Amino acid sequence: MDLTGVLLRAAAARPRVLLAVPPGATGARLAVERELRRRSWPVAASPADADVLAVCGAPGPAMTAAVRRVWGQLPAPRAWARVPTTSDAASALDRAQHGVSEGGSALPGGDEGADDNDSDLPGGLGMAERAPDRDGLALDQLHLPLGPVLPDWPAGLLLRLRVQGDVVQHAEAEHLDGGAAAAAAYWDRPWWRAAEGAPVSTAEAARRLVARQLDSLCRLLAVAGWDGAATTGRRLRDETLAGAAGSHLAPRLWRFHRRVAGSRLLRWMTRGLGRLDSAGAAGFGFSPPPGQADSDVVDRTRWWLERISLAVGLLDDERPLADRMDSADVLARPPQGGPAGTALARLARLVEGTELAATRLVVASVDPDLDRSTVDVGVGGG
Amino acid sequence: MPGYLALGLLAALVLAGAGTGYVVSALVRCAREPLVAGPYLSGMPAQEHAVSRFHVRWYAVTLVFLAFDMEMIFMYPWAVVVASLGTSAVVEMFVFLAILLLGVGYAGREGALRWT
Repeated sequence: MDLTGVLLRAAAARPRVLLAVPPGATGARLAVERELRRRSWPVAASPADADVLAVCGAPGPAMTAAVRRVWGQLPAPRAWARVPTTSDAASALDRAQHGVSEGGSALPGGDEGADDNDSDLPGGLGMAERAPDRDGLALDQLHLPLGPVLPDWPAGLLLRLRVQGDVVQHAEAEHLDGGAAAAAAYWDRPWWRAAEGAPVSTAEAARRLVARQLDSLCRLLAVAGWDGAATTGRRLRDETLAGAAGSHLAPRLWRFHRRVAGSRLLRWMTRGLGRLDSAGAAGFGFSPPPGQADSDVVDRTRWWLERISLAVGLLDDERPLADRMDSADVLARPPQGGPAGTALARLARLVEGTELAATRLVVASVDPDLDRSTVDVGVGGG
Repeated sequence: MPGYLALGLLAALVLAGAGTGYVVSALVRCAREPLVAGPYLSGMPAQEHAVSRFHVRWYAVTLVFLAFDMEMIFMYPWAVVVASLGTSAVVEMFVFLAILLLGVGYAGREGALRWT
């Protein structure tokens, strides 16, 4: 009966895509997001919501296990798209769209089959154990990982939570394996190329800086629920990276800056969350505002917006970057390593005692760049 | 129309509606069996069954609601007759409300209504 075919083709017109981003895959992720925005395909929030699983970059062993598990949770019709480099995005998405219209394809190597069930317990899982609560009660505690394959989540971060109800009792942060060269940090490339002697212009570095702050900011806005501003910011990010003229970009960047900075609702929603002292903030590359000992989510949002505003004037500046590398301005050389194990541990402690929404906001406001770490800290679970 | 005929018609309509759903689903489905999948934990395996109780903060708020719900039951008949009874009735009801609020205030000060 061709009713199925008609519906499959209708579904394949705009399939929903779930992104799996291992560390070191920032360039591929940006290419996929740009393609999705160009085709106006929606981004899925969970595997049940998704038709296509897009795996960017080259996942390591722990990430591959996570991706396989997520693949097993996608209902038919489903297809997967492998995007190892930025140039593969369009063709991979086309193949995936064709796969969905055909009724779905399989991951080579077979799916994750259904687990053997213990006949007594559903799914072979026991009931939740009890643990002491903040009030001296003993309540059920669940292990909830905020892990690799999660929309708007920093790549390579695995946050294992123990939650009671929706309040986090205990958190542990881990850095999952990269697979590809973890030292090829996408956002810092202009500075490393300039350090090696290649001719890099200020414009290129400024564009990458602006795009990086916009990326982090839009993730926070998406987590906070402000999808309109997040989409506008991502469009600005893609145009900045694509090389649009600075005179064309600057007024739109300023308008975006005013819109986000002036939002009272966003400030009220995030005030007082995730207070990091100056040492903790320095571990993630922030500095608290002058005259303040610590910074919360509002301060970090403002810090990103300020860096964008400082770099807007430099988007067309063709002078060599090497002249500005050692100065104290916005285009100074970025720090060498990524957030150390202690910084991630501090992030985990910051999150304990908050509820899940606040946890996601705090992690999105810090947005650790784990691609910078040249040493694999910790081993991925799973 | 006679009772049993109406009942039978309604039953037939309900069965037709539900049956249409099943028939259309069987005609257009892509896979024969529904997907057996674990919960979405960002790609990590589940370690226990997710059945668990809400955090205790919700129970405290629920009890406060229940107390004031029972108080509202007293307020409904009072609202009907208060106009004819006069000031003393108003004063009595507000004394009752004040006693309840004292209890909530005590609980709040003791930290029972703490959110996180």
